[in-house]
Amino acid sequence: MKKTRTILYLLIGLTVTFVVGITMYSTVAEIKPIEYLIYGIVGLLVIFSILRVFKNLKDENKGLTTEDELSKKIKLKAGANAFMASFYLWTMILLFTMDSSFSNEIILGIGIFGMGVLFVGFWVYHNNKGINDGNQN
Amino acid sequence: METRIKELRAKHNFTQQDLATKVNVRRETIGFLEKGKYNPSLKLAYDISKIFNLKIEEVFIFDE
Repeated sequence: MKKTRTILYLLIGLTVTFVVGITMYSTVAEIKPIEYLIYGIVGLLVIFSILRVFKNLKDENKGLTTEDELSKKIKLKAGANAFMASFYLWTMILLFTMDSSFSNEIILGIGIFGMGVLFVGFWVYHNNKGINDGNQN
Repeated sequence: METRIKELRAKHNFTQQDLATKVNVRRETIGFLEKGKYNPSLKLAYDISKIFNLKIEEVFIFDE
C-alpha cells in the first residue's frame, strides 16, 4: 500500500513536471538567462525528489521504515520555517517588482516557486542538523 | 540530554539499523539520538529502553 502510494506520488510529480515544462517551453518565445537559472533550479529539485523517492522505494523493498516521528517533525519544522521566511520573500518580490513590467502570473509564479525552494532548503538543513528543540529553554 | 544508546547497542551487538528496525524508526533517527541532536518522544524513549531491558532514565540522561 505504502509502495503504491510512493509510486503514485512519483508518477504525479513527473507528469506535473513534464506538463509544466512543456507549457513553459512552448509559451516562452525566447529563453532569457534568468529563465535558464529557474529551469536549472527546477531541474535540481526534480532530480532531488526523484532520488528521494527511489531511496524510499529501496528502503520499503527491504522492509525498512521510511517515515517516522523525526521525519514528520522535520517536515513540519521545514514548513513552519518556510512559511515565516516567505513573508520576507513576498516583501522582497513586491519591492523589486513594483515598477517592473512583470505580469501578475509571473510574480505569483516566482513567489510560489520561491516558497518551494525555501521549503526544500529548510528540509535539507533540518535533515542534516537534526531537531533539538527540547534542549532549548 | 545525553544517551547511552551507542554504548548499549555495542554491548548487545546491534547495528543502528537493527535497533531502528526493532523500534520502527529510520536508521538516521537512531544516529541523531546517539549524537544528542534529537529528543525522542516518550513512546520512542520507552521502546528503546524496553529493548535494552532498562528504565528510561538509565538510557537517557537528563541534565539537572
